[in-house]
Amino acid sequence: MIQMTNVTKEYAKNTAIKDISLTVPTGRIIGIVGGNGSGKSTLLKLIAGLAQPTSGSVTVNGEKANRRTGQFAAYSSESGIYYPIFTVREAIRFQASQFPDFNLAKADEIMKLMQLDPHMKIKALSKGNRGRLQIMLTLAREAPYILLDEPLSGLDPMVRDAIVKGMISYVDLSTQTLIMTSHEVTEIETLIDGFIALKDGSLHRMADVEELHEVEGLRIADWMKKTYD
Amino acid sequence: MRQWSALFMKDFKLTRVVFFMGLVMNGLVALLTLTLEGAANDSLLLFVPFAIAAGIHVAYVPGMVLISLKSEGSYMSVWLHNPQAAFKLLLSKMVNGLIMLVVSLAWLYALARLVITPRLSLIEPSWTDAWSVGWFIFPHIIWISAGLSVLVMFLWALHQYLKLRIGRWSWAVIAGILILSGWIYALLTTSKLYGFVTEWGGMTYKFGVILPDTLQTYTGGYVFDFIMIVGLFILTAWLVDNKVEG
Amino acid sequence: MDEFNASKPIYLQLADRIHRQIVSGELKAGEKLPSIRDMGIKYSMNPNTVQRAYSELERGGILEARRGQGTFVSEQRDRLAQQRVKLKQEQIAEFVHVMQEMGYSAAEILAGVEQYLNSAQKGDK
Repeated sequence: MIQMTNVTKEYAKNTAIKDISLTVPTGRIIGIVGGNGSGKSTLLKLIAGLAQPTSGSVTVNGEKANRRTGQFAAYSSESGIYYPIFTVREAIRFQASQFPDFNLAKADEIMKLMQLDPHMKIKALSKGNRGRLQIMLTLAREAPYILLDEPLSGLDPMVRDAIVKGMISYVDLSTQTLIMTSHEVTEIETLIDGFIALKDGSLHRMADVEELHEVEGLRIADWMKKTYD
Repeated sequence: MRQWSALFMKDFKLTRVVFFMGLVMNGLVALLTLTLEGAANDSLLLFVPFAIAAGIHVAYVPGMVLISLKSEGSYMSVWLHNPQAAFKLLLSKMVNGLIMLVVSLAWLYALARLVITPRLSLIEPSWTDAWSVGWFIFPHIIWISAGLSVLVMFLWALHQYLKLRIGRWSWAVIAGILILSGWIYALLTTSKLYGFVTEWGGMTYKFGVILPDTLQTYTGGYVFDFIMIVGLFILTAWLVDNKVEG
Repeated sequence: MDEFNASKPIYLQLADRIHRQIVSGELKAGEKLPSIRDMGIKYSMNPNTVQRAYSELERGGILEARRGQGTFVSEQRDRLAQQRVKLKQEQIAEFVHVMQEMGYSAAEILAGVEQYLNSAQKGDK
């Protein structure tokens, strides 16, 4: 379980997260949504332990989130660049050497599904293939938490579809929880169980998608249009 | 161990181009010496380019470590998102730099020998002395370079943290800290207490013709520096584990 | 996603869709359904949502979960026949409700439907 208590994150020039308290239950797919600069990526980094709150606390399975709790969370950053000097195969081997929960067979399977050439140098990969690589390297880890920062952003519909299908195929919700940030809300509507909506760094709403459909008859995008002005 | 050695190989790949460039530059120094020999008459000039090149090697490990850290900077989350403790991540870069330094320095010395030996008759009297100075300098270059690399890692980690908190002022603070700590260090090493603590295990060196004065070193001085370096390294690892963000 | 609308929970829309496939005979009595994960992949849908849809249909007796084997269309044919009638009633009720709201009389609706079906039949030939 991930728990945030009165979390605030300040940077030199701005406050990225303002006093957020929430609990993310396990075994679900959760989307973090909100406009540009609303704090989506920062929230995910706080959970990954790659950023520390200025005040408040973030715990992952009861432990304070820091660099080392990363062993419970497979994190994929938005910048999406892996060591460009590696080939796809070398990147897999490196990842496998670093993370004991990395499943090589699974990586191979995803690599084939994503049609990645293992001998290609990463710096020579197209943007779409980098997105695929990133997803493959992250989903091959059998970590309790999978954290994806904008996994669909800037990719063409075919790649996005392959990535979404990859998530459904290779995340086991009986043992894993997937948290992703996205501004492609329509794309993830049927994929996510619940969403965390941020507005200017504050928690705007956290709810089940089906609750939104059932009670308000709205899609996330419609709801956001209605409440974000 | 497999975990760390994979990290080590990755760090080697990040800086190997610079490493090979360094080896080529050593070769260029040897060529320069040969050209100098033709231009000037003083045979002692033969040593000068090599001595300078060896001296520059002090900056080798800090330079390598900085280049390595800089290249991580573009995908910092990948570097930080790793189950290994920060001291292992940092040590991988440092050991890489050290090994490269030893190889580069040994290569430079071998070149020096190769260039100088055929002309031995010209410089017979200073040859043995020069060579023993060389042997004295070799481990000291490694020692100082290792120490400086820890300082560089510390300043880098501090900058990573400060730039998140205070933005561009970080560099000013770093420069301030550097000057202040240099001043404190100088004050400390000239104090009576420092002498009292470190002046044991003395060794004297004489290098005859090349350096007429005797050189005095203390084992205590090395131990003192070692403790400082280890302390700074631990602090750096703590910063990377807790304060640097990806 | 475009195939689903916001007015109704997605799991119910998926349940309806499977239900219709059974009524139309696209899915036969006793036939095995795709696993939850495969169904999720097919519709890019959260497996938890698929699970809810399956559970909903199991509760209605239309699907049967067999331990260790997967989910099957019920073999109780009378149950399926019943459901076939029920689904028809539901669709008609919805249609009539909308028509009446717009002020059409029963006779108008009946005539309209008859005319529509006749012309559709001709169009088929």
